[in-house]
Amino acid sequence: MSEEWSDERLMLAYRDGDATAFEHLYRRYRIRLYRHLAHQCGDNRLAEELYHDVWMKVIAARAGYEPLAKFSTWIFRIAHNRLIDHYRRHDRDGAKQYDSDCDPDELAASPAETPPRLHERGVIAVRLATALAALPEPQREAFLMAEEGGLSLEEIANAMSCGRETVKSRLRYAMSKLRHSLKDLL
Amino acid sequence: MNDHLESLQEEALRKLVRGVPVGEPPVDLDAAILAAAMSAAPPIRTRHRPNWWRRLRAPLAVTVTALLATMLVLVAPRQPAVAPASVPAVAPAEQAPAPVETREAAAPATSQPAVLLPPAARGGIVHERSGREASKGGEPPPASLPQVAKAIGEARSIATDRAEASGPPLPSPASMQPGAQPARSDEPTAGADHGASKVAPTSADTAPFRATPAFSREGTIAPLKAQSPAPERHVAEIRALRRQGRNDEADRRLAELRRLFPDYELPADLR
Repeated sequence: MSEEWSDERLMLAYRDGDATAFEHLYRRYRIRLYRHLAHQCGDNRLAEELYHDVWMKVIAARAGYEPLAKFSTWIFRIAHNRLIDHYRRHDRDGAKQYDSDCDPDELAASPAETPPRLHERGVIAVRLATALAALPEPQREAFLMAEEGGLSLEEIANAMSCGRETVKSRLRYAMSKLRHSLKDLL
Repeated sequence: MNDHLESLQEEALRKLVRGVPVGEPPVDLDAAILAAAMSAAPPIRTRHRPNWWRRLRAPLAVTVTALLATMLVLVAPRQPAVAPASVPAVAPAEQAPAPVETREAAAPATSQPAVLLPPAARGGIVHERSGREASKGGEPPPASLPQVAKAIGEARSIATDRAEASGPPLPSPASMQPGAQPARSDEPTAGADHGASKVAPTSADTAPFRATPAFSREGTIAPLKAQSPAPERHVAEIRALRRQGRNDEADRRLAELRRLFPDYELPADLR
């Protein structure tokens, strides 16, 4: 029965003490969130750390949870904030790219973002990771939220605390750059 | 054309992104997160108990109320009825003569003086109690003399009103003092057809009254009054005796009339 519940209802049930509701919720977002983070940071170990932190924040925030927005928006917003924290600590340039005054379309891709395990992955995976890594952070995050998280424009805008048109623009630029980078694979 | 090509490329790109084997979180990480979630979840009982209680408290309250009401109904009649001391003695005064008369008619001439009971003990349900106590030989509760006098006074005023129609008046409280002349047990029962005797009690009704025959301490004045004819009949007999020249007997009957009915206003020829 709880498998048919919405994400928000499951989270409310977990808030009220139903641990099995959290299991269902975890199963729904396990792959989506992890892939989003893994694509976002390009490092599986770092992705696991971020992934763990995001879920811990969900668990810690359960008591005050209210379904004011979709759960997907909420959890990806937590992931977004966690990523910004990570960039602020370890990558000042990455954090700067989230500054609203800075136009991400004017930013150049970081040359040092090549994943360390490129040789262990397949060619497509390497090419894709490289292409994603070449994207500015906001564009990459918006793109991954849309493709991996399945969020709508409004949900992405809500999660990233920006306007819908901004998200639309970021998605358009990200798609254009990826098409250009992976043109021979498409 | 370009738009169509772009849309096709975007669709292919999406498939490419989704098909990339990024991997999934390790099992131990899943276990750690789920364990943290389990330990952080509050006990379900504390949240579900109010719902359970909210559903059942209304039927439970009705059931408990019905049970208490049933217990009260079953227990209440078994408790002894405690008659308040302020119960008016009018009803006992009206009911007392009939059973006493029946008792006197059936009792031998040497019957013992009746036991005095409080006026409240002579009415309604209390009759059964006094009957039980009498059958057990228990001592009835004593009544104070002022209470008895007050009750008799009230009864007398009612009885006096009725006396105009048929019944004899009740004796005055003064005549029921300890110094009053005891009634004779062999008093003629000519008045058996008067007043209360018309409503003859059944054997079940008379049984409780055997221990509560009269108002007075001696229990003799009331039976005498009930057995005596009406004062008008005394007067008629006294006049007949005087006409026959039997003045001594007439005077004795007159004295007896005054003793039995001290409040009766004698005709002018007998004063």
